[in-house]
Amino acid sequence: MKKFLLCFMLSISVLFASLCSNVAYAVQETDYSSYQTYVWLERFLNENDPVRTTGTEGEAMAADWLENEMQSMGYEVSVQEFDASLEGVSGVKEEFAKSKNIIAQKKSASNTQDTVVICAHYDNAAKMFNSVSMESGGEGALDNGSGVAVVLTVAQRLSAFEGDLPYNVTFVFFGAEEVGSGMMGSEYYVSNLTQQQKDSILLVINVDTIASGDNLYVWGEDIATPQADYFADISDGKIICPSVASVSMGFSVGYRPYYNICHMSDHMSFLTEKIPVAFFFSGNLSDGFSYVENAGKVDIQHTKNDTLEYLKQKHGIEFVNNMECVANAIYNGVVEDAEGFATAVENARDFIVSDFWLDMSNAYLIFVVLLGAFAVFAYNYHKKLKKRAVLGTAEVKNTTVFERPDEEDIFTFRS
Amino acid sequence: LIFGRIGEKMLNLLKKNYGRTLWIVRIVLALTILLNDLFSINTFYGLMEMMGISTPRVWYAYLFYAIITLLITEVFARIFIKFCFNFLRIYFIPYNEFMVLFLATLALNNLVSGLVKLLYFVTPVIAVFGEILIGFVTSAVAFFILFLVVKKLYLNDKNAPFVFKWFTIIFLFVNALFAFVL
Repeated sequence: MKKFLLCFMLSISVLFASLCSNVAYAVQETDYSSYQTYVWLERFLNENDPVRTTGTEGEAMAADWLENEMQSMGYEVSVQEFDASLEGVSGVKEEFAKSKNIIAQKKSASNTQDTVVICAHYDNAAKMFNSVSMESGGEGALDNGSGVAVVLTVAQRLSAFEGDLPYNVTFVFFGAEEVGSGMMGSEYYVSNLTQQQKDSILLVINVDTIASGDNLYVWGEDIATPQADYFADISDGKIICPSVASVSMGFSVGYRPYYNICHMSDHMSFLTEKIPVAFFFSGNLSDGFSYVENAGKVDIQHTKNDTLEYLKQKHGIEFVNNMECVANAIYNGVVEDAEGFATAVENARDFIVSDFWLDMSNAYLIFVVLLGAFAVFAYNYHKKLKKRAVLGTAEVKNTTVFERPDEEDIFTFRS
Repeated sequence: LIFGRIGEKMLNLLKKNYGRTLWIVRIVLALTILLNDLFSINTFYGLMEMMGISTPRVWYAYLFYAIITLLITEVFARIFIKFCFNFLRIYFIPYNEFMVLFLATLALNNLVSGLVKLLYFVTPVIAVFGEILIGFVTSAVAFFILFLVVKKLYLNDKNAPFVFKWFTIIFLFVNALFAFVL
């Protein structure tokens, strides 16, 4: 009887456990599609080619898709075409290919020139060389389908917003971020702005690679900035400002004389022109002061694992929560709390690091001055030593630091 | 005065054991190399990870770096100093003793420079100036301390100007080489 009862209880437990897991699975499935950012990410990936590397048909197709989607939301859309280098792309003979920036704008009724730019790049690194596996593969779900999904979500919410904002909002989807020296789409975009247009940009909000990673970050400069603090505040601490950045001399990637993971996206094209930025990304900067996704290494970005299925498998609902968190922070800041946002970014330009501190030639100039000062000091000291030598003695000094130990000393030391 | 009676006793014992003193100096130098280069090592690891190469962020990888750097530093320093002493005919400074003093001064330089460089982690902007200037300022101070010690121990009034002149020329040459070429 006991055995029968035991078997019965065990069967019940197993049945209950399997039911629970099914319920949990079902809940997870339902949860995904109830999030706007996830729906946009799924649509962006499913309705476009998984290979969106510059120079491929996939990138051109994605540009057209974004143009149509933004138009269907009611935005005025313009397309900027430019030549992009194909350096780093595998299987191509040409050096350059056409790429596009998709630009949509919602103008303020107050006829102001002030503008907030919200952007993300839509190309991916699927056909690019990777140090580990020749071709990166993947469909760019994390880098940067996640960023595109967030910007589309904000654009969709803003299109339904009936109030007026004290500034224009421009959405830009950049092409050719991954190829060549990087950030070619944003560089082209900035190079086509007049000085007046540059001056009228209040803030550039760039979203890149935010689905995976232990933490969500917002970065404004290599020093603390009001815009980064503002977004960290309105996200209730879910998005943090990186206090420690990975930097070094000798590893320049073109934007600053030192390396910093926070420099590795489109916003740098704006920051170098002294336009304030807020860069949203995910990762973990606390592990050895470097950028990693999770648990000490990058295993999604620029690899064949950069797919929606892998994100689901690895993070479950968490990656959607990350995207939602960033979308909410941007929308709540730029749209819902427009006055507070405008006040926060009012003085953002003052926090951009001066070129003086970033120009290595200034440091070398000071080095040469110090070298000269030391040489003068050494010359005077040498003169003093020579003067003393005239009257001094030439006795041989027999002083030494080390002494020959006797037997007792050796014994004492070793014990 | 600094270490008290126990320290004085230890110092006296170390003075009677050249080999052990040299190894203690080497260990301290390896640790200070790690401190001084911590920033660059982490940056290097960060870049590797960006390229998809997983890096060994474990204590023995850092230790391995310190030991290799120490080995290279000491081998090059020994060859260079031996060459300079022979070329300039500086026979009145005992080479082996000088090596211990030199490595100890290098450790002191790395310690001070490494501590200042910890500021990079807080404000990376200063790295641009810091990487060029901090090394020179700390090494200039360390160089002068080394010369004063050498002068007190081995030099008389007649040969001190000669040694100072050549030490300074070599110091300035090496610093300029590191700053502009390496």
